[in-house]
Amino acid sequence: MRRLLTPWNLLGLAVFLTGGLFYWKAQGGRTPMALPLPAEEVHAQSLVLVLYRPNPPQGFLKETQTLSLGPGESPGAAALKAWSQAVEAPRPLALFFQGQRLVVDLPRDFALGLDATLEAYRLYSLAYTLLATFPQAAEVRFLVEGRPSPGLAHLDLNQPIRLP
Amino acid sequence: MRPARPAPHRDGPGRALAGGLGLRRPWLLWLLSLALAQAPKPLQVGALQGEALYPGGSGVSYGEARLVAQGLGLSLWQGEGAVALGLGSRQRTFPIVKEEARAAQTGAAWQRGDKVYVPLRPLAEALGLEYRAEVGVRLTLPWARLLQVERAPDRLRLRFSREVNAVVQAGGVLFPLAQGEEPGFQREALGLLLPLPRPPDRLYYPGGGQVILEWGPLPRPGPLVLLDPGHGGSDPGIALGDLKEKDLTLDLAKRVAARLPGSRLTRTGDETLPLEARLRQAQAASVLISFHATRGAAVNLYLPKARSTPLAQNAERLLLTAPQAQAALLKVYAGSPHRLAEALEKAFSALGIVVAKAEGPYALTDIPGAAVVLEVGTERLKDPKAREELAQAVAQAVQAYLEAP
Repeated sequence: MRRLLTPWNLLGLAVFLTGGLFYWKAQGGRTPMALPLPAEEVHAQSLVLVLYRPNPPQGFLKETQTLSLGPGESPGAAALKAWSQAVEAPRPLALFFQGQRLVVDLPRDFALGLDATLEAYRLYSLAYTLLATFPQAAEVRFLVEGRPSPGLAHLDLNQPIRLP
Repeated sequence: MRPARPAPHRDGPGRALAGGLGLRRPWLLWLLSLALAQAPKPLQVGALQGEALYPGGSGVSYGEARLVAQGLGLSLWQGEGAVALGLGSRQRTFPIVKEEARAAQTGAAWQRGDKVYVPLRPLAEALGLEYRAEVGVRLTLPWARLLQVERAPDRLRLRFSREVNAVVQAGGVLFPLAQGEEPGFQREALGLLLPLPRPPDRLYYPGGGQVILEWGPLPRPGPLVLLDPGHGGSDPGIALGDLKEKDLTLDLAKRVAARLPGSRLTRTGDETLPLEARLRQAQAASVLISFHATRGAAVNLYLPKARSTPLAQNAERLLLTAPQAQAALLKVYAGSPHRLAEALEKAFSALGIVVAKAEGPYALTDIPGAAVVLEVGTERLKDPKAREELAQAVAQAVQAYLEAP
């Protein structure tokens, strides 16, 4: 019968035990858990909306509203909804975050029945509200029904809007 | 005893060269053939003879630009750093390079002493010449046939079977390497001569083998006044009882158009016209007024705050300094919304109306022409007589703007 306790057998046993120890340490204490929610769902349970309410001809009235976000509700959609209700304007279709740029998709009737001054108040109220509510953004660009557009009726929408 | 040596070949020097260099040193023969291929070759350009060179040994044949132009009746222009040859509306420009290898690599013209050489094959492809490389290089141009002559007062349009050049000379215009049987033309050794008592004031090539000769002053382009009635169709704008903004603006714009011959409307009926379509029309306008309405009796003028095109950015400054004739021409293509607004303010003040002005990113105003948005209160627009007065004031202001020095 050949010897069991040869140096090579002992080395193999040591490698096996070391590997086993690592495996045990790596697995130890881990229990099954649910997938984490997206970061914005975990942290943004509420949203502070900085509303620029049109107050022609003086300018805007700045107000803050704290919005509680429902399950699955994104801060952008909540901001658009709250702004639309506060200023009694058609609700924008969508809000996209592109780095430091916000892109808002407007319905074609967004400024229907307004003159140039009131159209400017409505558009700038929305842009300033979003820029103040989401300070990581530097500018707002507008789409009309999903496409770049030169404007609605009176204002040129080719250029982005920034906070003054 | 020594063995007998084989007798040497006696088949002549050619055979000896092939046996001595070709068979024993094939690479030497290859180098020799390569060197011979890059050696200057005879160049025939039309009836002229010259030399085709191969700068940098790259296998690209070059010919002297002046010789090529003379031999085929091409136009030749040489400036600082570039040379161009042309045939009718076709033209090919080459940058001039002194290093022969770089010239051949980049397809540029090559300056050798005081002569400029151009690559022949690219030139032939650009101008439609026939290029043949055999023992030498041959550039030819088939004779063109005169197909049609259209005569109009102070204007002559000629159509040939290919592009031709026209050379104005004493007593007429010569079309080199062209022939035809039309009355009034003379066949000459160099081409077709059109005898003329007076040389043309303008000669140009619109393409398709055509040559146009014109006499008299150049027709001056006229300014385009574009009147844009805001809203329309499914977009009524603001409403005041039965009065809708889209109808009031259309009526006002039509009244202004009636006073400005040659002016155009972006819409002539109750139709939905997106801003994109209005902007497309506005790009060609010398003057654009977009009519809108607001509540009350105010009259507002909205001007662009910033203009994006270089022409528009420089127009204000150029109009300040340009002489009247140049300023009038400039106003066809670019304008000053501020000057237009001043003219409108002045015309409205004669009616006792104070105009409020604002600058900002207003739609349709960022164009090279002078563009403003004119918003008039519905209190002033609801009365047809008042609309008539307003239209008169707007028309006067546009005329004053266009005629001002």
